[in-house]
This record gives sequence, C-alpha cells and structure tokens, in this order.
Amino acid sequence: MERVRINVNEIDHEVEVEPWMTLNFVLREKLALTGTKKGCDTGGCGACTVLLDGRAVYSCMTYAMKAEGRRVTTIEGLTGDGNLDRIQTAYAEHYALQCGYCTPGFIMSTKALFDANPDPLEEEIKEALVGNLCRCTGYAKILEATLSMKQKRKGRT
Amino acid sequence: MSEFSPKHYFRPETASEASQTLARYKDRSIVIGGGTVIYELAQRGLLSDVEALVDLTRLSLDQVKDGEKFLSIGANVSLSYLQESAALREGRLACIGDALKEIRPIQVKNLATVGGAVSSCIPFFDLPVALASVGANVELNGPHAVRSVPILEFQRDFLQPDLREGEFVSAVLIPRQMASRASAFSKFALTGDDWATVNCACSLEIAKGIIREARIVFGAIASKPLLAERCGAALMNRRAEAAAIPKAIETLDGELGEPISDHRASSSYRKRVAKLLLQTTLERAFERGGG
Repeated sequence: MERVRINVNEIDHEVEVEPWMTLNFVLREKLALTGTKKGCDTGGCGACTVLLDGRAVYSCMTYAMKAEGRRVTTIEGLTGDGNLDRIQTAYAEHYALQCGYCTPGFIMSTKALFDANPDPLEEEIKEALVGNLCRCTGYAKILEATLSMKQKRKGRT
Repeated sequence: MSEFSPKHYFRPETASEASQTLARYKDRSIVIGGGTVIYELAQRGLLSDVEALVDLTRLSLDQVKDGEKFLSIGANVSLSYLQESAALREGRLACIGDALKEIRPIQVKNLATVGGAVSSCIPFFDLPVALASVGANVELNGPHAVRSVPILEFQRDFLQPDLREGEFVSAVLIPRQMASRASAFSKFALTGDDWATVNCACSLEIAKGIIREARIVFGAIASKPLLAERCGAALMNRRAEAAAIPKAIETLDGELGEPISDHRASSSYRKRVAKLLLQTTLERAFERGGG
C-alpha cells in the first residue's frame, strides 16, 4: 500500500492505495463520490471524466498515484452551495440527457472547456466533447445546451 | 498471476536514482508517464509481470526548451502542453501540430506524455510518425551515460524500444534546422478518436520553390513507422507543386510492401488510403511553402 494525498473538490484527502488502483476506483470506492461514473472502464466512453488540475481526464485510466498533490474536481464539486451549477442548469433546461449516466462526464468536459475558453466555437465544443459518448440523446440536445451557455454569455456582454 | 498488480511505486528524485531503480527491477519495472498506454496494455493482460512503476515526475522533464542545436521536448511533457507550446506557434514544425490536433480525445491528450508516445512503440500512434519526419532523436538516460538515437532506430519493432538496462527516455530532440521546413501530417481513422488506420507525415526542404530534401513517413503500415525513402527521392529537385505528386505516389506500390491487415482495414485498403494521404499531406506542405 502507498499513501496518496489528493485534494478533491477543495477537500484534502489522504488515501491508502495500491499502485494499480485508478482515480475512478478511489473516488467511487474509497471516497464514496459516486457521481463520477464507471462506464466502459477502457478509456473510451467519457462517463468517468473528472478534472485534474482543471483539465479533463478519464478517471478510469488515471492511476490514483498520478493524482498525488493535485486538485481533482468531480461533479459533486459543482454543487457546493446546493444549487445547480450553470452547466447543470443548461443541460436540464435543454433536456440534454435521457438516462443520465453519461451526464456527469459530459458536464465535466464542458466545464473544462468553458473554464479555459469562455466563448468557444461550435467546432471547439465538438472537439472538447468527442471523448464523451451518449447512447440516448443523439448529441443534438447536448450541443444545444452547451451552445446556450455561450449565447447567454454573449447576451450579457 | 495474470492481472496487472504492481507492488511498488517509485518517484525518484534524480536521474541516477531512476536508472538504478529500473536496473534493479529490470523487466519487472516500467516507467509511468501519464499512464494511458500502461492502462491500455494492462487491460490486455500484457503487464502482469510488472512489479514496479517508476514515475519520473520529480526529474523536471516537463519542459519544452529551444536550444542552440535542438528543440528539446521533455519526456514528461503532456501532449496537450506540447500542443499549446510556443515552440509550435506560427506554423513551426507544423506536422507536429497537425498530429497533435488529430490525437483525441482531450481526456487522453491531457494525460499522455511525449515520452510515453515514443517509448511505447505502438505503430498506430501519430506523434512518432510526425517526429520521424523531422528527424527527431530520442534522448536516453542510462546508469552510466546519456545517448541519443534516431527515433526510427529507437522504435525497433512493435512494443520494442531500444532501451538498455536502467535506461529511460528523458527527451525528444528535434534538430533546429527542421523548424524552417515545410511540413504536414494527415491521418485517416475510422472514428474521430480512434487510432490511425493510416497516417502520413512529410517534411520538405524547399529552396526557391524546388524540393531539396523530402522525408516521408507512414504509420500503421508496418510494425514501426516507415520512412519511404524512394518516395522522398522521387520528389527531389522537383518544383513544390501538384505535378510532382504522381511520381511520388507511384513509388508506394513497392515501398509500402504488404501493409498490416487487421480489424481496422485490409492490407490493400491501407495501401489505397496511404496514397490518398500522401497526396493530401504533400499538398498541405506545398501550401505552407518554406522555401
């Protein structure tokens, strides 16, 4: 066993892990943060997406030891005050989900994009979301929700 | 034991400590960069004998340095960081920028490192092909010396890097004069985030509109990136324009041999795609000029 220090949603944790354990396993099984999903578990579907130092990563293929001393943001970190975050609101308002299993991953990828680039082009949105699969909505609603955030921002400026 | 279950995780403080650790565990150790390739290989049951992971995070190999002779890209530089690097701005080393754009998804690109992309020796990867087209060398840090090997020699075969006992990749070095070449990279993949069915990179030394040297490299054709020398020779002393391309394409029938045939594409399909990609890649490089 190794000890790893990870800051998750602005809370410091020290967790005992084996070197083969993934960040997804630690979040879900050791920290009970089950908002981050385990989907394909082969680095392909994006349901497990979290932010590592602000950048989107697949938590299923991130070894927990690589998160030592770093900041992890999960879907639970978006609702610190009990209210939905603006991305979650946009997804809800645009019905950008059906079964909802992929949604936390999509929202985290969307967050990484908008944090880095508040006014992305449609192409940039698609590029940012290419690593997230949805098998219900067909993507149109997800794209609408994401584009609406950009339009809202434009409306304000 | 058939599962990936390393018992030890080392974060050496110095290059010498890293080499000693790798030498101590020999084939039972592996360097972990972003961990994405390790994950892929472990999933396929290929790393069941690994006992120790060696993480080089503390060796400061995460910089892109513009030196006198080389652009040095540290092994721990992530593919996203490299894509954003000033070294690739204003069209410099455009083939590398093209390749990085084609590597998806962002979730992998944010983790994956240059050292991992090179040392894993997976022939469907994009970055090694682009690097080979600009004559990159791989810098290897060993217990007794540092040596530098052309990437096409370093990648000996599928999953077989030229790594001696205790050695690890510390950087990729691109000769400075390559930065002024006209270059391009193209990829054909079955989906937006798949590995390449075929990819192609070229770098051209163009003087007054005439091609003086051409390096053409194909990936996913053979078990390692393939330098198409006859194809490059067919472009020599030709004007950098569309009329030069058919002769170069003709060479590929012989030079590509019998490309890989797998679940992505048959051998003959790959050859057809390679010809189309060469056309696209050269056209893009010609547009960029550089003469």
